[in-house]
Amino acid sequence: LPDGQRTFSTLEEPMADIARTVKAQLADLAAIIERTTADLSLAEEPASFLVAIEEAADDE
Amino acid sequence: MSEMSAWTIAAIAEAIRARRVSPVEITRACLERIERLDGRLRSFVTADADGAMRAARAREADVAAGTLRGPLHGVPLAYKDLCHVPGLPTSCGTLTREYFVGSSPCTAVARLEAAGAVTLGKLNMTELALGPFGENPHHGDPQNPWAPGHVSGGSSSGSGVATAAAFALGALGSDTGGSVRLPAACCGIVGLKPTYGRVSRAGVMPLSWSLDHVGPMARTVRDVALMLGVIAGHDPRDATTSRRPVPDYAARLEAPLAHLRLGVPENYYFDRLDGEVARAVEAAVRVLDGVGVKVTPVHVPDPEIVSGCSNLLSRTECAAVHVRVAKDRPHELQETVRLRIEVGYHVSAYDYLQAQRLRARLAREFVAEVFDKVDLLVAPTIPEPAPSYAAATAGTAEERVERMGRFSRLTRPFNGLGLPALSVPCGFSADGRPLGLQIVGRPFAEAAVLRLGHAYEQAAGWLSRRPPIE
Repeated sequence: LPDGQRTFSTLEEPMADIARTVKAQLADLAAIIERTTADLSLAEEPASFLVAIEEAADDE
Repeated sequence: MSEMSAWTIAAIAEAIRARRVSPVEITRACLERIERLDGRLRSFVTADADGAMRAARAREADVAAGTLRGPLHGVPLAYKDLCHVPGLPTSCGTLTREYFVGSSPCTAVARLEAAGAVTLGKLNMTELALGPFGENPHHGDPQNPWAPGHVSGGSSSGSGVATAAAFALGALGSDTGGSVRLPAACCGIVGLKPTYGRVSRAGVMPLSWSLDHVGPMARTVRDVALMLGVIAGHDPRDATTSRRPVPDYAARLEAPLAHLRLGVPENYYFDRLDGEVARAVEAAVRVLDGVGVKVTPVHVPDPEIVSGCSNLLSRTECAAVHVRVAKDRPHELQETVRLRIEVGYHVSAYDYLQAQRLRARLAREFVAEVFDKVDLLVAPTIPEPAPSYAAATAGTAEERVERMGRFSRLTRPFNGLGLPALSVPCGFSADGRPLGLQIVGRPFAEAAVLRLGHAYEQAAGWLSRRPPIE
């Protein structure tokens, strides 16, 4: 297991419960992202965000 | 000279230029006020009285020699304790006095000082900037100046309190999910999250590289415009900063508003709102209608999707940045802070990258669907007036984390989209807690956002109210 998961196993039980809940929420988020990215262009890369911001700029 | 709580950056800078007041006199007054009142408000982590007085005397000598450094000459400011300022510790709200080490100086602070500002010190904040209420068990919980015992909003809580209490004429905060706008709204001041890339984050503790923004906080929109004009612009030390020219924001505040199209969201932003907040924002929209803008209902793309992306990105990046304290000294961190960091270890590289790729499309879609129809968007900043500390911290850690998510649900989407968003005071609850109106524009539309904020501020008249802290 990665280090992070070992860290989880050392948490007190209430924290471990919370961690399970939050991990479930993360799984939900991942599912939303998976659905939303289904038709994403192959050309889309992380740096596209900065390009999108610049292209949509207000040139007042 | 007027009472301190009425001082503004614009007025004091002008008075210093005209030699009606001296930087030493103004700085000393701020330091005395901090000494007298901050024991119970807990806004400062480090008040650097000696350094501030040295700087003030140097600025005074400049004035005597006829040399002004810039538009903020002699104006006392303070900075969230995640800005690295040489000679002062940077705790980032943790128990560790020098948590943020090895960084070069904060560019935004260096630019403010180069423009003549006097540094008063470093301000309290939520531990590692992880939380919207502003509490801090290590340095004391910052108190809302309008309602003691209530949260000040966070994570730039000290910045909100110190500005509202007139300890400093303005402050810097950082905003990853609302951390400039939430304390601005809770404390009855103005706060701006600029466009992603407008202000350098070099020398500022990272929480989430993809979502962090540095922004000014002050009592008036004009003061925020003055600060933004100084700190904005390309910085070779922050590769995300834009090379786009920086307008004279303050000079554009009085430009006409006629023909400006203002959108009011039909979905999401008015759901599950406290009644007093909803009524205050609706009243603010009527005021804006009266200053000549054309108000239009507008449907916004589902903010839950961009918030989901943002949550996934921020949790992952925050875990990567703060892994050492979380693993080596977890007992030093608050339970909710530790939890939010540790969850990030479990995000897959695949999900992280898909969220990053999706962000560009979400930003393009939002701009096309909203800003092709309207020029600016308004929404509430906070879903309810600042809660009491007892209410904000009640329940299990899980309930507290959920409550945090609800409190920042109106601000967080604009971090993921990278859009400029301003919070201006828009009234008070029946028991005197401030409320905030958010004004949002397309990328780099800070001039228009500030212009509408200024017009609303002048028309609404909330600026004359002062927090009862004396």
